[in-house]
Parts: sequence; C-alpha cells; structure tokens
Amino acid sequence: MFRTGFAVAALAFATTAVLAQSGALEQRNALMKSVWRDAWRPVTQMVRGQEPYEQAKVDAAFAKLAEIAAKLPPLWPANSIGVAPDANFSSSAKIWENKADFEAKLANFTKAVNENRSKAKNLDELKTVYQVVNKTCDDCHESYRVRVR
Amino acid sequence: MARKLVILAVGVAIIGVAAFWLLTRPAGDAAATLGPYAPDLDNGRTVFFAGGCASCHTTPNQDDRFRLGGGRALKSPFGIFYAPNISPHPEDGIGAWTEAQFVTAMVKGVSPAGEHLYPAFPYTSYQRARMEDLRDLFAFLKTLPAVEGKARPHALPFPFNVRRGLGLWKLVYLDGEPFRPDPAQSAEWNRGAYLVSSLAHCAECHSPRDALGGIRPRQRFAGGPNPEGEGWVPNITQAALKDWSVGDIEELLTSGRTPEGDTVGATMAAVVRNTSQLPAADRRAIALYIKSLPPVEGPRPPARP
Repeated sequence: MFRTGFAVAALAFATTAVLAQSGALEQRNALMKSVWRDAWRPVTQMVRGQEPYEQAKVDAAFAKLAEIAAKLPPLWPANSIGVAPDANFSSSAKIWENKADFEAKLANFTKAVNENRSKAKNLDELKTVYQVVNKTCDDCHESYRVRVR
Repeated sequence: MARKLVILAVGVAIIGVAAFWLLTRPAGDAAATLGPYAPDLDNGRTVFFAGGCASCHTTPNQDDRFRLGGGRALKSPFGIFYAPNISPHPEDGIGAWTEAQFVTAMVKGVSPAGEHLYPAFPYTSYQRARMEDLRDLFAFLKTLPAVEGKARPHALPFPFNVRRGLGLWKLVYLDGEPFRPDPAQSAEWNRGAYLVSSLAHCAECHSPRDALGGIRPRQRFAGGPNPEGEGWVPNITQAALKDWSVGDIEELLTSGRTPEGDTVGATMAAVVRNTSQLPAADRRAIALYIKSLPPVEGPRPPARP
C-alpha cells in the first residue's frame, strides 16, 4: 500500500515536472516568435527602408519588447532542455552549464530595451537604437540559440 | 590437422597485419622538392581568412584572431579534438616546420613526425588548394605572434585513438585531386567554386556524414545533423536557398544577416568573422557559386512532435 502510494506520488511528481517543462519550453518559444513578429520585424523593415518610418509602430514595437523582456527571465528552469513543437530553434544545453553568463546576457537585452525604448524619434535615431538592441540579441543567440531544423 | 589450421591462422594474421601496415602507411613528403618562391603576404592573409584557420586555432577566451595558440575543443561522434597550436612558436607551434612539411600537412593530412592527422582538420578540402595559396599562407602564418603552450591531447576512445587506422580512412575519403575549374563557367564562378571546395571547406559542416565520418557525396551541401552535437546544419543548395539572391548570400557572408534580418548563430557566426575579412570580390564569387548549387534534398530533420 505504502509502495503504491509512493509510486503514485512519484508518477504525479514526474508528470507535473514534465508539464512544467513543456510549459517553459512553449512559453519561451512563443515569446521569442512574438519578439520577431510583433516587434523586431516591423522595426527591421523600417531600418532597411522596406517600410516607411512610423512613430506609432516604433513605440508599439518597443512597448511589446519591454513587455516580453519582463516575462523572459524565469522561463529557463533546470531541466527544461528540449524543442517546442513548432520551433525552428531551441535553447542550447550550454545555457544550463553557464547559467550566470546566460542570465547576464538576458539582463543586457532587458536593459538595452528599457534604456532605449523612448529614444527613437526619427529614422536615423531608430537606426542607432536598432544597432544597440540588436547586439544584445546577437550576443545571446550566438552562444545559446540552436537551429534544430 | 589442427596444427595446419594454426599455421594457416598465423599466416593469415601475418598477412593481415602486413596489409594493414602497408595500407595505412602515411604518405611521404611529396612536397619536399618545393622550388624557390617569393610569397605574397596579402594573398596569404586572404587564404588565412578563406580557410577559417582562426575559428579553430585561436587561443580561447581572447579576441585576437592572430593568436593561434590552439586549445579549442571540437566535439565529434568519435571523441573530442583539441585544435593544436599553429603559431610560429618553435617548440609548441609550427615554427620549426619546413614549408614542405606544412604543405604535406595541408594536402595529405600527415604531420612532420610522419603521423596521420585527424580529418577534424579539414585536409579533405584543403587538398584542393593551389600550391601558391598554401605557400603564401605558410609565409603569412610566420608573421603572426608566437604563442607558448601546447593544446591538450585529443580525447578519443579506442579504436579512434589509433592514428594508423586513418590510413584506411584516407583510402576511402582522400582522393588527392586538385581543384579542376569548369571551362564552361565564368572566371568569377570558378573562383567561388575553388574557394568553396578547397579553402573555405563549406561542405565539411554543410553535408551529412556516414558512419565513418566521411561526407555523403550525393548529399554534399544538403545539410544535416550538427556533428558537433546540438542542432541542425542547414541545407545550402537551391533546395533550401531558392528564395535567396546572390546578394543575399553575399550579405550573409559580410554581416551575418539573413534576408529576413535575423543573424546566423553559433559556428556560422564564427565563419562570418572570417568571410567578412575577405575581399568583396571573393565573397561575391562564393555567393555566385553557392547560388548555382543544384537542389539536393538532405536528411530530414527530426519530425515536429
């Protein structure tokens, strides 16, 4: 009886752990996709001259970035290595080997977003801000993002 | 009867060992008779960046791409390789090597001590390089700072730690052929084809490999699982890059940006640190050639769960 109870408890714990994991995986994948779709692609298109400069869109993009940046830090719990179902990229196992470095790089991104979100008032200023924020994306992606397909 | 069998078995074993010995003998110093030459250091620098030497051989945890102290780990299904010191240090690097020994290492994968080098050092591609380029590279490497210290030895399990066995591997995967230009194509295309198939060794990562670690020739450039472990190396034939223009590929080799505005990651970011240093005309030639690769389907990435 005791053993059965223990087994059930262990199973329940394992299931919760798996659910928690897939939760973190899916959330961070969805948020990263949203970064691109809702914020950085529209900005990139303006910087590249593919779309006209629009202040409202710039403000909306940076608001979205700041909102997402605030949600990201807890989404890499221990043992959440894996690939989300609809992902083209995943988090490298190196994140958990260098957690402090990873967290520092993520914090750099948040800081860059918050410090620069209100600075762009025309295309030239946007180009400057773009470089600064984009570098913090690249710094982390180069070390810790893995293409999976 | 039993005695005859034993004698036969011993005979077969002796022949086997002798055959292994002969077949796996490292190729001799074919370049020992290099004539006089006035090296072009500017071209040597171009060859250095086209060859991506710095990506593996720079001393880790510092930013100087010309400090070639070695020590970086290269993971593989066969074990972990540690890139050696190729700075001009006389004891720890290649400072005491002759030019002929250097060329032999580059095209035959044989060290000055007469041992096989592991093909983690991509001599399967470097063997197609022009002799002048190799000699210019050697002269250029000699101008770089000598760095003290040897890299740790490779961490390879048996049987991969038996260098002699590479002799058999080379019989299958090292053909000794130089690059042959295609006279039907432009000079620019041929320059790109030359760089891609020899120095730039693109196929070494962008192709699937068989169980012995050789490139599957029919799926050359069609991508596959990353041999270093995590993730997937993309297909760079027209099966995957049909929406990319020559300019898009050129831009990627210059800035690391994809047409969408994303950046290349991980090992390709390191490659771009080299290609961005090439003359623009060489990047253009590489892009032109890559854009001309016929579509080839590679291995299928793991299915979406």
